[in-house]
Amino acid sequence: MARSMRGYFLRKLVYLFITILLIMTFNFLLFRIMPGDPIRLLFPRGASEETLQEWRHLLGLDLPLFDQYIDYMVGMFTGDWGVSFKFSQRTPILEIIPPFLLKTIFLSGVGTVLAIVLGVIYGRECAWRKGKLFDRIGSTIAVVFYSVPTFLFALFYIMLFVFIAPGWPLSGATSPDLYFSQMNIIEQIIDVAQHAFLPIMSLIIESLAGFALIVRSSLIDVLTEDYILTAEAKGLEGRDILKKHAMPNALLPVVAVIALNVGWIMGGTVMIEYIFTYKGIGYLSWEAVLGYDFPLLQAVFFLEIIAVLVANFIADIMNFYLDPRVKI
Amino acid sequence: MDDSIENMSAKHIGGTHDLWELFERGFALAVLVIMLVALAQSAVTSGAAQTTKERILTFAMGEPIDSPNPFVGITDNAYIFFGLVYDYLMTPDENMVNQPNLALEWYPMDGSMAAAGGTDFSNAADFPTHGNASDWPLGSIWEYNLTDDAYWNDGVPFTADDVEWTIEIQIGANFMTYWAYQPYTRWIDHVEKVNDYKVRIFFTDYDTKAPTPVAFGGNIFIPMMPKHAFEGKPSSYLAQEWTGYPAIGTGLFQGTANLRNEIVAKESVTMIRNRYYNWTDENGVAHGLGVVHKRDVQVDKLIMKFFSEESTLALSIRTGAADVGEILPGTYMSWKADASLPSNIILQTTLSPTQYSKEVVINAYEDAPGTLNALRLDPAVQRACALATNKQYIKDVVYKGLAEIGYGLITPVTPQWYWEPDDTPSTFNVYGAGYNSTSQKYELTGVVYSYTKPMKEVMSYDIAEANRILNAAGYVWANESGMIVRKAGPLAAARMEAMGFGNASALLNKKLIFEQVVEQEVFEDRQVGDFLVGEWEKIGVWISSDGGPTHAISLVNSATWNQLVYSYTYNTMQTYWSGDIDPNYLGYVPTSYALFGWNEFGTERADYDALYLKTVTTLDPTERKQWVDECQKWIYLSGSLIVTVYPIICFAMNNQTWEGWGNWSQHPGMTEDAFWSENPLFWHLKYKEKTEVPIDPVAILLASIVIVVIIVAVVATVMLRKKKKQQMLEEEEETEETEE
Repeated sequence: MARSMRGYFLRKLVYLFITILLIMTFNFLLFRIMPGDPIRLLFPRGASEETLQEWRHLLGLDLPLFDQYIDYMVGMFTGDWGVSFKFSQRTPILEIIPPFLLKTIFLSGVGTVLAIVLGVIYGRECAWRKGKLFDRIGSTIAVVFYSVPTFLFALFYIMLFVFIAPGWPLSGATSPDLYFSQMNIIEQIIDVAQHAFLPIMSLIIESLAGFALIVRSSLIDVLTEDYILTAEAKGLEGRDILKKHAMPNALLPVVAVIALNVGWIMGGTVMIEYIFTYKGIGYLSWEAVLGYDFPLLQAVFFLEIIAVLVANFIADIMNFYLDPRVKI
Repeated sequence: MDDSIENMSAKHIGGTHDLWELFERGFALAVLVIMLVALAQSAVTSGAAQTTKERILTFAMGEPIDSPNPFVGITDNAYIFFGLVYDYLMTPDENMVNQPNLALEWYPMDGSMAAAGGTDFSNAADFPTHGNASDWPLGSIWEYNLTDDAYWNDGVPFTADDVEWTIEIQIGANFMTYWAYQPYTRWIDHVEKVNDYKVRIFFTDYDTKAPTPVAFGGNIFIPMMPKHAFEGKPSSYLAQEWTGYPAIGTGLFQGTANLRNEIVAKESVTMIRNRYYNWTDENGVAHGLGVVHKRDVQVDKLIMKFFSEESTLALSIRTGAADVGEILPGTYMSWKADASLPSNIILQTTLSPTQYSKEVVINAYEDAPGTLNALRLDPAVQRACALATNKQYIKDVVYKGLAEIGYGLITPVTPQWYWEPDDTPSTFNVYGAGYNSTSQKYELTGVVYSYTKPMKEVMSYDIAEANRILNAAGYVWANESGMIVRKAGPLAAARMEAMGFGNASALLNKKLIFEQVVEQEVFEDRQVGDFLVGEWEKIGVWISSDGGPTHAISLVNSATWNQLVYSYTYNTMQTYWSGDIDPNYLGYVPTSYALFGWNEFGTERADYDALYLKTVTTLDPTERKQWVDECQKWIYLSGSLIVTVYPIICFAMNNQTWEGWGNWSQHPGMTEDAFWSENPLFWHLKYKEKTEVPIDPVAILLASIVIVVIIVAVVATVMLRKKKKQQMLEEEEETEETEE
């Protein structure tokens, strides 16, 4: 009996909401059980116990754990995500995050699209030429790219560009404000593209190879199916069979991997953003971990988790459409 | 099926164009175009900063500014920012000698001089006690003549009101709240505004309120804040609520309208010249602090660019994207040895102008939590640990030779105050202990062991001497489950009780096992700690992270380190210190006045406090130097506060755009991080006119080859595919015709 779309959607939505609640609770508790007093980071030298106590009170850290938890949960749903402990002195979290988030969305968004498009084409062409020179070399390269840590590519690119294009920006998301604000819109777009080029190239190389390997393997399986032979027997051309009949089915596992990849890319940006001083959410989470900035860390983790969960949710819904077996 | 794939591919390569295929080609073309445009633009703009008419200096920096509020920010780069935006009464020059700044001159006074100058000692609000002029000795009052031609960057004139307000909010009831400048504010009773350009500061002891002469009246490094910007706010506002915006200072630079976003984004901060630092009124008369002091500054704008990765920072200097920055010793060494280093790259090393020193500390706080090992308090144990700390190795191996061996907290960067041990004989005695049946307690008896050496050698690395001391002090070797460690024998336990450090029976057989708390982020501290694990083992002191068999240092994050250290819940730890150019700042740290505040060593000794007081109250510089020496000697001989090295900082600068960097090892006051007020570097830097940007022809050639190869490859692929497709179609047509 086929399931209804609305029931499936609602059920997934309820699961999503419960998962978010559980993760929020875990997110809250995780940072409270870690050793160390975050207030001490605000005042490494010189502050008396009285001052520390004043600040604990100002930041609500002197409240019982349960009261802190209630404040946290209510705050998260009412847009009060608290203030940063360390970041520019008590700046509201919701003021800090947007510029960092935008950079990461741009970086990982463009990176993901590029990785998917290039990875699918790459994997498809390898599968189509299975066993031939192109496939043998291509697959080997993909495995190598998949195995090499992302940051090595980042360092390689930096060295390469210092040599071939010394003026190429090696850090930051844009030129300093002094220059950037004086550029026209075209120059600004080029400036942003230039700054993002090396981080994106570093970021996508591993996931591109991953997508390529998955598509190749999936497509080779699909191309052995009977209906492909049937299509060929009906006189369809090879490329038409590949694109219209083989690829849609071969892409099913890729949809699931894309969802998982969102989390991987969010994590992967930490190192890339750090190396290129491309200050997005990855860099922010690194800073927050080092700075013991509980509210900021909770917010960053929360956003990352939401991104992964929503991506999975969308993948589920897409699967529902793409794969008729889910409806059974 | 392999065959079928191959067959299909052979037969049907080049099917009909569909949307996906169009997308693929469009995508490839777009990527190619973007690469070409960006590469071309990169080549053209590689020196964009230099071609603009503004004279821009770019600092490459590591850790970003944590807060623009000078009462909250703690990173070094935050202090550099404070020095750029705010002014202090005086400013050290390139030789670390104070020069006038907001204050044009300053001198000590006594009560009668102040009374003659108009101070009303009968005013009970200012003088609730000590209301007689004669109560105030020379130096307990300092008078400062301020410039009448300095302006806040919002155009408001700077006056004595600002000085009075800035200091008054930090003292009295607010002393604990405003912790950042306590070495000065502890001694300040109140500030009297004499007129708009003259103030008197009255100094008393924070605890006794007794008027106290201070020698550091000419070295007060408190950033001056604009009173008019904070009127109506509670006195604790700056320390507790103010976010640091707008940053209104009298300093050479000010932030842009985008400062807040820049600080939050942590990528770069653009500083523009304070328009009121040097300006001309409608009558053509020049005004401003720069005019007052005739400081010719060519830097129009300063960009502080933050890098999270040091290799990127270093490369940005090499490529000219930044003009100067601090680099790691490893980078310095490899660049120094690099024969191909471009001639426009200058490498410099210097001791930190902020007296940077590194310490291994044995917790000296006697009332620390009872779970700690009380044996750490034994002077014999402390001395033995100090003798087992090989500073030469730390300098040579951990710091790769880029450090000087440390003695006291004051470093050679201030030679006028620096102390170095000499040939004077120094003796260390180990006293015995015996049970006094009359008093029914253990008491110290005569000397059971003594060694004498010249002062410069008495604390030098000497494992044999350390073992002799511990043997004499009653620590016996034990081998327990593989742990070769000393434990307190009857004599050691008796000595400890006699010294008031615990109960002999409880301390008997207690082992010399200490944890060493090290911040995991500080790589050098980890290396030193790992080294000491093996070294201290040679004298039977076991560094353990679990109080037992685990033979390792305790690596903790910064928050935990701070929590343990400032509550004195540690046996040993590693730390660093830095301070201003006057010995008051660093001398204050080990005092009992700074306990549970600045003092992280736990030292609470009346003899040190007395020496420090002498350094504060002795006005004669020559005599004061002797007391400063005594303080440093006390630290050196303490054993509990082991100053290992004074690290040398490495800098790289690119002189394509700026020259006049000076010699920073000879003039440390002009290094990039000389942040106590206005950095004299800005007075010396000269802009180099530069219109053409040299681009490496080899790089252009290589880039061109890469581009040409890409284009040729794409065109060839497309053409080949078209040709093949055509051939296939022709073959198919022929086959069909044949079949027909």
